[in-house]
Amino acid sequence: MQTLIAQVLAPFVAPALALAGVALVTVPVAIHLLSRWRRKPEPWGAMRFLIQAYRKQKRRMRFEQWLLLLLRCLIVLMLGLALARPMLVGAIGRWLGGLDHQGRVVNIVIDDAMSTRASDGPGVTRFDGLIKKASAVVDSLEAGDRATIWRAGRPAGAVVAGPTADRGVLHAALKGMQPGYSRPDLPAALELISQGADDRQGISDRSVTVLLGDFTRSARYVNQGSDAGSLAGGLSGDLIVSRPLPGHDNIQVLSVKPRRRVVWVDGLTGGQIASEVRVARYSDALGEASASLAVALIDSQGRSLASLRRGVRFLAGQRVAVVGVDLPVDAVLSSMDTQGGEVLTIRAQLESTKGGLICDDQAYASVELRRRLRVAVVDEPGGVFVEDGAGLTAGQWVALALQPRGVGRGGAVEVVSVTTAELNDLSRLKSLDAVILMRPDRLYIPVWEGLAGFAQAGGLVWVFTPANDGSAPWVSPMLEAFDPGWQIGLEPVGVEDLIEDGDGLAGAATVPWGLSSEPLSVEPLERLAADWQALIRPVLIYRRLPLKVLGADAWVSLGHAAQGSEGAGESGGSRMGTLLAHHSVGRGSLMLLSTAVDTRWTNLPTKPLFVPLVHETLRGVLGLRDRPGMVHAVAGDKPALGEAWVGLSGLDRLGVSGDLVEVEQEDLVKQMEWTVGAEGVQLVEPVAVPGVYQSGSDAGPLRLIVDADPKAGDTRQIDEEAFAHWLDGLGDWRWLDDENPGSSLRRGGEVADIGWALLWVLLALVLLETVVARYFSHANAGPGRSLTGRLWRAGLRLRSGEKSAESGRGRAV
Amino acid sequence: MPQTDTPNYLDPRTLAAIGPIDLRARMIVEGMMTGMHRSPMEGVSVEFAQHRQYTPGDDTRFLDWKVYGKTDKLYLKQYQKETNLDMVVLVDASGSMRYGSTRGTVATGSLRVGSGLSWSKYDHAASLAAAMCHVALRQQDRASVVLFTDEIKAATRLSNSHDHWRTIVNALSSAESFEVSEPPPDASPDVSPNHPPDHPVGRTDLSRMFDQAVARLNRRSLVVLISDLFDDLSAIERGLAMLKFRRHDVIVLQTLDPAELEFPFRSPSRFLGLEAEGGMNLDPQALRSSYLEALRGHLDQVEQIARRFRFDYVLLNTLEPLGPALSHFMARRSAAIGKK
Repeated sequence: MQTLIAQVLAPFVAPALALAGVALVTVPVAIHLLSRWRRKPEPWGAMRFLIQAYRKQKRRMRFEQWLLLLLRCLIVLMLGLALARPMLVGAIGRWLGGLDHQGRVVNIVIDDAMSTRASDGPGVTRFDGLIKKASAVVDSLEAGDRATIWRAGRPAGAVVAGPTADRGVLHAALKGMQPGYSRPDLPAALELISQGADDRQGISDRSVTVLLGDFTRSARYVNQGSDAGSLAGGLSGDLIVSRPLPGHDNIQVLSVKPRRRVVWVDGLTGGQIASEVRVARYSDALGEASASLAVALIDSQGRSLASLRRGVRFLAGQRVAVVGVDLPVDAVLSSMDTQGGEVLTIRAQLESTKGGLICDDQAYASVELRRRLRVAVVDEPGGVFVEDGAGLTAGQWVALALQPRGVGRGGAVEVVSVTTAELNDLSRLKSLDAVILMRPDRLYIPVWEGLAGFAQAGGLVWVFTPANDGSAPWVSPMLEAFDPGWQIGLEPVGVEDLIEDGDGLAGAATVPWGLSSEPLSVEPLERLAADWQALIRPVLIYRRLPLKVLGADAWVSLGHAAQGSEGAGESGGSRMGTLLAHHSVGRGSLMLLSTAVDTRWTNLPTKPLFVPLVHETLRGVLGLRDRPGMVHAVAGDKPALGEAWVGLSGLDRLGVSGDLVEVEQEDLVKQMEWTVGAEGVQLVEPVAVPGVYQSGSDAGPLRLIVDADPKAGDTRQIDEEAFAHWLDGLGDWRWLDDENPGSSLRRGGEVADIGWALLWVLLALVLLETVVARYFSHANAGPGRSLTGRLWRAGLRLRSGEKSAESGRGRAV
Repeated sequence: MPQTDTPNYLDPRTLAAIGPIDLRARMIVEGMMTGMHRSPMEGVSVEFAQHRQYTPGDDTRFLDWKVYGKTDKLYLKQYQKETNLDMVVLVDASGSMRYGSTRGTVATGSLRVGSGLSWSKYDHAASLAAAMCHVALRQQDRASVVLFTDEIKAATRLSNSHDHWRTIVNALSSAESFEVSEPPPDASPDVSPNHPPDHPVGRTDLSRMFDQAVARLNRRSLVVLISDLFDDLSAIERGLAMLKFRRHDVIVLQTLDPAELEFPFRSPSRFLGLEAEGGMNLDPQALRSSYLEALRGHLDQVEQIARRFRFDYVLLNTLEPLGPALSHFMARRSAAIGKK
């Protein structure tokens, strides 16, 4: 019984009011019965005519009484039902709820992310299927409906400005849509729809949102429940979603990355650009697989300067493969400016992949080739001669390391000798890439500040500890100028000293220190990593400044000397101190070597590690620095191009010719709009098409590389249950009928609130009751016996206090 | 003096405040005489009664030229009439005649006396009958009063003696002692007999009454029938036909209460018949038009019957003054005397 009652009351928003309405039906019945029992006696003489009239009107009066009673019961019942707000499904509900006459705003959201570029048959992509479904939805719009089209590929946006009822406009917009290269961003599209709904507040249109997409695993928002939850209150109306399409295999070039962004090449021997290509595959079955990879070096004119092919092998279960490629630069040297450099493009492309997406089979990277690395070695005139240093000062020793003898014209590094006094003229820092300070103790504070500015602009300031036995007062202005956060003791410590330092800056040392044999993890020095253990073995440190650096700034730490036991310095290297520290300053760097280039302090300058350490440090620090004129982004990004792009005159998409890629003529030139603000150039629209964009500015080589979003290439089938759960966060939704998409927009399943309709029925019943009561009573003057008439009379009596007109009338004597 | 301060002695609402019928009758007669400018008692007798100042419209044949010659003023000579008229007033004292919705008031200056008393149809009929008899007796006519319900309940003899008026008044006052009759056998099932009215009533049976009345009339008479005539039309027609056949002159004064004529009730009520018809729960507004239709049909039929026999028919509303009815009676009396 309770179940039956619950089923009957289920359609009501407020079932209690419906029950009250049913219960109150007894009120008119009770009034009717009471009025029959308690009537005022009226003596009457002309009874014969009254009986005669009664006999004549008997049947009609009974009909009238029952009709009035029925109307009054219906009025009470209808009031209760209307206030209870019944929700009805079906044609009657729609008609009563007025849905048939109410227009809707249909938001058609099309996922145009890169995954929809996948083939769905000969010459047909999945995106074509989505457009076909969208067209069917447009065709199924009913009278009064208006629709708008949104794209869900990042960046999401409106394809049609504002809802329109013009199907021609909608079809034209659908016809003009193309799939993008970015990942889907459905939450952003829904947020825009929600904002649009907010802007239309006050308009009574109902909203229907149709989501059309392939919904692969590239839809990573599914795992970010908060996005859906934040929209739960804003996305109103019906939500219809196309079913996720089956997944398919895809292999993509995840990235191509030169080990250094700036490569200094030797004028004679040339060199190689070491690059790393990462290839990823997406498949539910990860068996062994192979692919062919082509890597090319392309100049600014789009010419292929060098190309290599490499095989890619995936082991079972392996998802990402890394392929190292060394691209020869010999072909570049002949055309390179002897003083300047050239920005080249590395493109890695998969060849002959079957199935999957094609557009993510390539990736781009920029690399700058330079002939000259200008380094200033700042020392005192005459310098300090290194003991047992063959008559060389420390500065000369470092310069010799930078320009080893026998290399001919000095290789790529150009050493400039500068005295400490000359460094007072900060203009000498221009055109320098790095400054090596051999005598920091001779620098004044303004010079330190100037050096800090030099580092901010992208230069490298490398401080070598001078071989002074006394304290090191220069440490303070250096720390003040650069604020690296290091802990440096002012007094050098050595093996002959037995120092107990509570701060642990220096430990008790009775034997020379060695270098920590922990695996080298610093990216700029990664070329040394393979031989690191061998290179550090003979290195001994006898004296040093107590330097302690935490975190990634400690590039080379101290350890126990390697003599005696293998791996003695493996543990606690960072606790014993730091030999080489690095700190990023703006776009540049500050480095400190905590020992002096002096055999009394260390044998490092005489060991094989010294030269590669100096070179790799310089090239690594300067080569990994992001060049302001080179920006990397993925499709759908709106990159901030920075101050270096202020002189931008336009962006052209680099056309690539050669044996690897067919040139798409229509994409050769891509003009973009941008704005210039305080932080530089900001593109107005995100970059949609992958490629290499370069500016014709005279400010220097400005290059914007846009890759297809690798996250968009995950074409595996989405977890439908997780997707449904995410959709639950948006409110009520249902699947689109993929066989007949237009049918999903029909109003059959809509639930209509017929409360207002019942209120209109109630009003009609009240009016009918009034008319019928007056007609039945044949009242010629004044209110009749209807409910409204009685209320009117009751009001009059309350106001006037007059007694009933009938009271006392007709009394027999 | 403002008009509202002058009691209208012919107004039923005034008469209702006066208890005894004889006082009512005298007041009616005096009020009527005072209000008349042109006397209905024109010179049909030879015995001089009095002079009256001439008013426009009076018959110039009765101007006293001698007085005019002496005083240069116009006076009419009025004569004491000689009559040989027999007048029988049939007064309906049935239960339905006890109905009255009019309340009486007497305005004397700012003081209102007797407010709240009812004026029933019988009051109206009895006052009218008494007044007629008073006038007749003053004119030396023989008068008689017959009270009836379903039969003749009381009757006075025909007489023109001065103390006969007292007998008539006593007879009219005795109507309240009439007993209730049994309810009619054809009462509607919806009409409950379990609620008899609180007052003694008598059913109307004009057929039987006419039989008895005609049997009592030996000479041609002026018969005045004062009743609500709530009976079958056939009985009325039959009775009037008998009177016509016996060459009696008849004045039919059908007396109805304004509530009966208008049926102004609105609230559903239980209507209790005054002639033992029982009670009915009715919605008066729903029945009003049908009731009025039935009533008007009955009234029209009664008038047609009366006109067919060339009898005078007057519908009296108990709310209206008695003057017109009396004037009608006077004119009819004069015409009857003229015929003789």
